[in-house]
Amino acid sequence: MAGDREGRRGLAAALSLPAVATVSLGFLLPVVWLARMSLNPSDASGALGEGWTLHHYKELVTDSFYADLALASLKMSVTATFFALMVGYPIALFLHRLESRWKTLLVLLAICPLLVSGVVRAYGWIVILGDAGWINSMLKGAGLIDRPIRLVNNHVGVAIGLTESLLPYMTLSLLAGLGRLDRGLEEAARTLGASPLRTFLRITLPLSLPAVVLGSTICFMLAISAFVTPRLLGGGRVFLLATEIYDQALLTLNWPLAATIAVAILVLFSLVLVASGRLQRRVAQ
Amino acid sequence: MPSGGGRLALAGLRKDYGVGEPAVDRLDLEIGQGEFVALLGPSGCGKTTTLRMIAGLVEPTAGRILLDGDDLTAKPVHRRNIGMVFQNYALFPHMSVADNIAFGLEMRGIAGADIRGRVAEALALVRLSGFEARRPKALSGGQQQRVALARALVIRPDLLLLDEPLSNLDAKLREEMRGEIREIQRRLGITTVFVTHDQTEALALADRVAVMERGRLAQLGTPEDVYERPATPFVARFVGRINALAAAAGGDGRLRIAGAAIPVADLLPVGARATVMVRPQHIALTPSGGALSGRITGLTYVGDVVQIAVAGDGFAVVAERGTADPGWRGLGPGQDVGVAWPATAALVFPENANGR
Ligand SMILES: Nc1ncnc2c1ncn2[C@@H]1O[C@H](COP(=O)(O)OP(=O)(O)OP(=O)(O)O)[C@@H](O)[C@H]1O
Ligand SMILES: [Mg+2]
Repeated sequence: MAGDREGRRGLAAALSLPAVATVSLGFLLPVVWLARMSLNPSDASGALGEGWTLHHYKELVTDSFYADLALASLKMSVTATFFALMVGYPIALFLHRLESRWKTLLVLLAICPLLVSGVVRAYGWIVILGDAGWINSMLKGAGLIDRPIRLVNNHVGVAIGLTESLLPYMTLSLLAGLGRLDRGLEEAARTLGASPLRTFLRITLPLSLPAVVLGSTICFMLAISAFVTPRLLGGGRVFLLATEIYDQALLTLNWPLAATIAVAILVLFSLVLVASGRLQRRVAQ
Repeated sequence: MPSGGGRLALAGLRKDYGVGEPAVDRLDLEIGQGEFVALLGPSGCGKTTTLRMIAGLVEPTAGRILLDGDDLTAKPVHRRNIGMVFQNYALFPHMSVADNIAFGLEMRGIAGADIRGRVAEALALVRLSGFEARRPKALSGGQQQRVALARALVIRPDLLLLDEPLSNLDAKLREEMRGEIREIQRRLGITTVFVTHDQTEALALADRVAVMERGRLAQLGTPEDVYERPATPFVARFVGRINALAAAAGGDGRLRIAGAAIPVADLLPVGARATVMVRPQHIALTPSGGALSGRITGLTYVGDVVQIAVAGDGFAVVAERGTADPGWRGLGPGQDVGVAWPATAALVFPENANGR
């Protein structure tokens, strides 16, 4: 018996080897490398130097530019996550309750934006939101405005684009998390005298909180590391952590600084994950 | 915890889901104040649909629902004051037992101190005092059942609806809960509709049994009525075990079954076809003679009774004997026996009236 169990454990270890190897080589190693690079010095031109230094971390902590950047990133991510939640929640609830044979199709429809590249979607938004885009043309045509409203190349554009790009992830994770929500519970509340609104507030909402925490965590992480949307819809005028990494790595060629910011985001990720895990347990109990 | 029991009337109730036959059709039913009525029928006959229409969870396609003369049909669920116990109990998993029971009172805007008193009273009623702080998932099936019952009763509903509340419990607990539900219902005098597909449960609990067949009311009567005087072959078959024999009327007060002439109480025109039904306990087996003769094909011992299958030329019946009576012990497969039953025990259903 014991030998059998040991043998099985050995087999499990052997079977997980490829996965462990893939994760170590493909994920852990680059992170370690990144961390190492953040400790390399860089000269005035930004070029990578030999040796060890904490210079970039000092810069990150002392230069208020990075604090502003982090704050802007945080604000943008929270905003986009919030709006994705507001739009995705009703959609997920609707799909969860659907008992039609169209359900699978509608779920697919909700996540099909994922099939289109982020770049294409961003340009799509420019077509819609730009100074000569649909919205401005319509408003002008209706005589409501003389000058176009700025909807791209600023924070508004990035927020709209990010929200849209998060929506499929939000809807999917909400849908996955709504499993515990049973229509029978809402019906029971109704027979006990709860109006539809109170049924939502007392039954539906509390029972969907784990899903909300899950979806928001995933979307927040995606938002704070998003690069394409802020870059294209921000038009170079919206500065966030992710765009700064790009600028430092590819324009200034200061790799150590880019690596330092990346490590800072990683630390932020871990903090958010821990907090989300705690919250998840609190709301699920 | 007194409650004002209501008079319930269903008039021409119909529900068409838009696929196939209507789930409920032309249902008329009147239930008196404090009465306990069981809705009995096979799976898919429309019991749950009927109950959900009464509760307001399903909108009727046609017909009316009246409670104490008030038309409920257009009233939203939360204004109906109807207590419902769901098959899977539907207890709120994120609330304690006490909060579950208090929910309906809170929704009625009752003051906190009164709520505590009434929750305690309701828990005592279902013998669960001391379980206030538990979460539903930390309760056994039977205990969850009681909480669901307490939650439905604490609001002092005009009407109590139970949808197969015992089907998730094991046989022993089911019998115990059955007695308890009946006891509480009598004590509170609350009008109750109880859905079940278990005929024993329906007969044991109800003042009257409404047997449903494919969305229609097949028979409404006391347990004795539906068991002893079933209105249709369907009811006879569904409520209790029964033997069915094809027969033709001889016009002389006798029916011909498998070549033999059997006297019956009913008079039928000559040549009319009929189905004769006899409960297994009414079938007498004699060593020889009897109206029909056959041979024992098998014995099934089920504890309190033994079922004796007999087949002859053109018929097959099952007789039942209490195992307390030692007479059956001499019987065995292969023995030739005579089969007979008292004329009054035979139910005769002329073919044309009830074709099935
Ligand atoms: N939401 C629905 N949409 C379409 N058809 C339905 C729906 N609910 C029930 N039906 C159909 O209506 C009929 C009656 O269903 P109902 O649930 O009332 O039966 P029941 O008597 O409660 O059966 P059971 O004993 O299995 O619970 C069935 O044929 C069922 O398939
Ligand atoms: Mg049912």
